[in-house]
Amino acid sequence: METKKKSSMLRKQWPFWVMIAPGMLYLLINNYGPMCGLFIAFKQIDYSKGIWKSPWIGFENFTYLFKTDAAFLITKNTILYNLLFIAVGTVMGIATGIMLSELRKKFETKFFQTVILLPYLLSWVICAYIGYAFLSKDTGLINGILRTFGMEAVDWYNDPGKWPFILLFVNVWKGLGYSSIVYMSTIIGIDRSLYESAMVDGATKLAQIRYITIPLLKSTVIMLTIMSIGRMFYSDFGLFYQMPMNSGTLYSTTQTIDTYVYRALMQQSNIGMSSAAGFYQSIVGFILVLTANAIVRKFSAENAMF
Amino acid sequence: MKLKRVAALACAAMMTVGMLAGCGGGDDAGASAGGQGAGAAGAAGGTENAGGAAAGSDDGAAANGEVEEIVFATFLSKTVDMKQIEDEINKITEPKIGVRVHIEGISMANYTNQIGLMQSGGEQLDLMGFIGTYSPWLANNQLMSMDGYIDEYGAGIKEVVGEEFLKSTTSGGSLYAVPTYNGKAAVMNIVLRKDLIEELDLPVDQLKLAANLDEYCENLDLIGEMFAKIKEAHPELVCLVPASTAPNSLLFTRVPFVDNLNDSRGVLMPGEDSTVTNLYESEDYARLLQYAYEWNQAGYILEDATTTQEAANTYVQNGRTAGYFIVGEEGQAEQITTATGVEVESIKLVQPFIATTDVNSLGFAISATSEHPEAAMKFLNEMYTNADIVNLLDWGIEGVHYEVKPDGTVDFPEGVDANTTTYGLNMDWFFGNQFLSYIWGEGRDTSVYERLDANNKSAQCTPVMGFSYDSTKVSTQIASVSNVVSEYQPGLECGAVNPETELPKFIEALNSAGLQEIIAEKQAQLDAWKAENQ
Repeated sequence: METKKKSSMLRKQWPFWVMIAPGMLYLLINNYGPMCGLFIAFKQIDYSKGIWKSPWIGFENFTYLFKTDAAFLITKNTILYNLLFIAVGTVMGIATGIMLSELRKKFETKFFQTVILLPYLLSWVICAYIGYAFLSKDTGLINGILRTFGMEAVDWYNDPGKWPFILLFVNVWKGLGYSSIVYMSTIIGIDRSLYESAMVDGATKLAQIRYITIPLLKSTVIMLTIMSIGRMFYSDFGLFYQMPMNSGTLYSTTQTIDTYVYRALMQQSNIGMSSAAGFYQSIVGFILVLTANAIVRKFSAENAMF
Repeated sequence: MKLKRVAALACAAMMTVGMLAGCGGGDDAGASAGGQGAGAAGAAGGTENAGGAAAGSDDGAAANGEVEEIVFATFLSKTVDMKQIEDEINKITEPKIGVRVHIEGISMANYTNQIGLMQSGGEQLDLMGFIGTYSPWLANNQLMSMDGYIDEYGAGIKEVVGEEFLKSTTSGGSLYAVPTYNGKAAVMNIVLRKDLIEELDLPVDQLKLAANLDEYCENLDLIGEMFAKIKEAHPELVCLVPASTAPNSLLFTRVPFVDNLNDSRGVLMPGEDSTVTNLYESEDYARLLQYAYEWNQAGYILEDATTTQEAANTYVQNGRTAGYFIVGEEGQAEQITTATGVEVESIKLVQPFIATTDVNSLGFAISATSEHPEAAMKFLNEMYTNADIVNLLDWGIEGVHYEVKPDGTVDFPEGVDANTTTYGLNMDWFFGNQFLSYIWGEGRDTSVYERLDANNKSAQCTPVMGFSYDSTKVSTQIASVSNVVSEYQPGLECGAVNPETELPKFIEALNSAGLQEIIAEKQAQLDAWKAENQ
């Protein structure tokens, strides 16, 4: 009985299995295969001996991430920026998603959606130069305006205090298009009759959003947040390296784990140390995802991812 | 809804896979076609060059009819079809030395990674060029000792490069690489626009080749006065832009006659040959930083100096700057003028001083994984002694990529230019013996190689030529020191911050990042090296 049910299911589903097979295969080769290489983090690679025969050195490759004064700074920066981005990014994403879904004309929706999405599609190098066009001390637009009004030019790239705001702004500007589309697609999927009956009951637009849209968005929000929490120990290299134009003076507010590792290893081709950094980030990320999910499950089990 | 999502995901995945497969397939096809082509060309080369073989048959290598195939990996300044060059080279090398070479051109950005992958992945790799990676490769045991091969198959190399320079790639008494032979005696230059020199009658002829820091500072004083004149006459101009980006630096703050011992973290100060010290803590460095700061305060330096990613020449071309400092050799001004279309003069400011890394930053080594070291050495020898091979690598195929002009230089043939050429690497500074190659650009001074060669031979060399230090024991400290240096160096060396307040912070940060441990390790290695070699 059981087997019969199974085989009939397989018969019905086989096209989907075939369709998904290349993707699964790709995932296995691209994302799971390389995990075997994690042991490199514990080796001192000696090319003449090959990877397998190189000596094991325990956690020595990891020390540079923890041993120095910078360790605290980079961890703090990475985590705080990520928390900030998750909070502000989610709020802005939901707000924009709701606003987009409230647009009546199809043309308007498409137009604003495209305009908001555009930055997401730009490479960081281009974004960095757009920023540079605004912020450059010599030729920048903002300083040009300040100078015409007889004000002192601001040396943006040598003033670390301003960068948390700039980075937040740029990150939201760039990521908004994508996150708002995700939220908008969920909103569009909400049963219209809920709104209709709410309207009949005299609910205002704001009340509809407050009592229908946002509660129904909850599971999407939780899913996206858990996913971002998993990447808490990563930072967008482009944002933190390209955007500040690699300016040394800004390190106190722009240095994150990824940029630190990059700068630390630029001069040494040490694959042991670089995989140590990756290993550390992914293990911590993994633990964070499990923890976040466990917490969610405890409070509302139906919203947990697994 | 859910079904749709799954379907969409699957489609996306399939498209991605399809793309990857497409790329892979294309590569394979190309590679196999290339392989066939090589075989065919090899055969053709064999017959065509029967006459040529006779001329070179005293080597006798081809007589027994065995041709060894080697893989020669090199970084390239741009993506070009190396196959065409390879075929022409094989026409010469197969009959002459019995070596068929496959050139694996790799883009500069991926080069070091790619070599590591080739070696760890067991791909064939025999000869490889390097740019700045001699020491790490040596430390990682990526190089094979050349001792057993250089005397027998590389005699020409020894003669060209010379004892002193070969020391730079010798470790523990064994030779591990061969440096490129080109102009090594590069020194600090000030580049200034010719029209400004003439218009303001700038006393550039009073600048002299400094023999010590005091004389160098006299030069800088004089240059400061010139900047003042330029600024007064042309307030819209800046006088200096950084010629080095990532990290940004105006360069002139490099203390002359210092041996950086690979990486400036622990150096030999001028005249010193045994005690390693911290360059950044030296009075000399502070003295030069003071110039940078004063000049910045006076408005001589580009305001975006610490962040700009533009090449200095771009600023010259756009008429934004009067000049810049650069480390250069003979013919520097000509090169800049060719690149920018702006007439400039480039004046040397110090006497040459050659440190180990000046010599071994570029060169060639045999891979530790090579199974054909003799063949690799034979081919390498050709790169230092055979002008035909050098010119093929430097400029391409005569008549296709270049032609010889009446004055002995070479230039594009009729109907070909920098945009349409299928070669045009412009890497004559790299492949073997540069002085065997033609000089590019009709009208250029053809005697420049003689002067470069003479400078190489007469220049003062570091007392510890050949000392290369292995940083693996202090890689943790280097990792954090690198971060400190990239934090402070651009600001200080572009004059954007006041050295009086920032330099002490820099030094303190360096020490807390572990610079003293690096210096101690370097000192220990230097002592050991001296005991063994001197």
